[in-house]
Amino acid sequence: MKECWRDGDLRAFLDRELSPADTERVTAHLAECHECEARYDEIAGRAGLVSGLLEALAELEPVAPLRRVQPVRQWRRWAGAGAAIAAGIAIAALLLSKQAETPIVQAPSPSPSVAEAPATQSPAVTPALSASAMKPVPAPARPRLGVKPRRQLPRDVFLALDDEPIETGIVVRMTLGEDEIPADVVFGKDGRARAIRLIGTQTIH
Amino acid sequence: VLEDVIRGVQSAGEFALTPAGAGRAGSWFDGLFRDHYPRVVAMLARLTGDRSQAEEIAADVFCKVSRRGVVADPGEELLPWLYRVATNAGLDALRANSRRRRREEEAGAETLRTGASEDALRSLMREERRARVRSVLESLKPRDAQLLLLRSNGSAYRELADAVGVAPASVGTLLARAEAEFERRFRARYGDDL
Repeated sequence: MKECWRDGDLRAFLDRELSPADTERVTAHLAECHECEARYDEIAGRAGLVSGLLEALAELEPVAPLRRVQPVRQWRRWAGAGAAIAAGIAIAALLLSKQAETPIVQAPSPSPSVAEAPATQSPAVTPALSASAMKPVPAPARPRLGVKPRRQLPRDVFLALDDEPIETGIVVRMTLGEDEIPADVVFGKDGRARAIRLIGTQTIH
Repeated sequence: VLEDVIRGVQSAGEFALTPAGAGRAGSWFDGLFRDHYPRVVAMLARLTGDRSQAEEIAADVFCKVSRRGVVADPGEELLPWLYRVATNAGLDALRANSRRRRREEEAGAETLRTGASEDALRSLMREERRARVRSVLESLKPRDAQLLLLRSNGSAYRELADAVGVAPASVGTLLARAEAEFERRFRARYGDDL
C-alpha cells in the first residue's frame, strides 16, 4: 500500500503530535516506503539540528518556576463561545447548589447532558459562579469509606484542557484563584496542565 | 487510578470554565496575562538573551493589549496579534542590541588576546554561537522565528497554532518550513560549521 505523507505530517509525527490512528499509519508506512523514510530522516535530522542551535539560547535562562495552574486556558475559544460558557456556568452553578444541599450523599442522579444544554442561556447567570457562589465545597475526595473500592469510573469527571490524548501524568490537588476553589489537576510529563476537575462537583454524563 | 482518570476525561469542547471573579471588569485580561505572559517572556528571553529586557518588552505588549480592550473582535484574533506584536518588538530590540553586542564581542576578543583561560575561550565560543543563532532568527520571517522560539520553549502544536493563528494541522508544515529556512540561512552565512 502506497500512501505517502507530507513533510508537515512527518514533522508532526516526529513531535508525536499526530492522532494515534495517524501515528500508527505513518509508522506502518515508514517501514515499507524508503522514500518517506529518507524524507523523515532528513526532517528529523534538521529538527534536531535547529533545536540544538536554539537550545544554545536557553543556557542563560533561569528555569521558570511551575506556576499555579488556573482553570482558564484557551482564551480564544471563549471569545467566540459566549453561549457555551453561559450553558457551562448554568450547569456548574446547578451542580454546586445541589452540592451545597447534599454535601455527602452523592446520588448518581442524571445531570443534564452538556450537548443538550440550552445554548441560548443568557449570560446574565455569569455572576453565579463568581466569588460567593463558588465558595467552599469541602467534600472529601472519597467519601464512601464503607464501600470496598471496586474499579469504577470516577464520579467526578475531569475536563480535558486540550484535544490531545493524555497518556500519562500526575494528579495534583490544589486550590485555584483567589477564592481557593479546590480542584484536582492532571499534569503531563512536560508540566502542562492537561485536565481539571473541581472537587465536589458531580458527574456530568 | 490514573487509568480511571484518563478514561473519565471529557473533552472540554462543550464546556467552558469561568475564572473565579469572572464578571469583574478586566478579568479576561487577568486570564490572558496568567496564561500567556510567562510564555511570551520565555520566548523573548531566548530571542534577546536578556531576561529583564524580555520582561520589559512583554509588559509593554500586555499594556498595549489591555488598552486595546476589545476582545471579541471577529476580524482579528487576539492571541496571534499578541504574539506577533511581541515577536516584532523582540526582533526590534535584537537589532538595537546588535551594536552593543559587537562592542562586547570586541571586549571579549581583547580578553582572549591577553591570555585567557580555557573557560573564557569556551564561553566566548558559546556566546558566538548564540549570536549567530540570533542573527539568523532576526533574518527570518517573524512568524518563522516565532514558531521556532515557541517550539524550542516546549509549546505544543495546539499552543503554536493559537499563537500564530493557524489550524493545528498546519503547524507541522509551517514548522518544517521554518526549520528548513533556518538551516539554509545558517549554512549560507556560517558555512557547515553547525
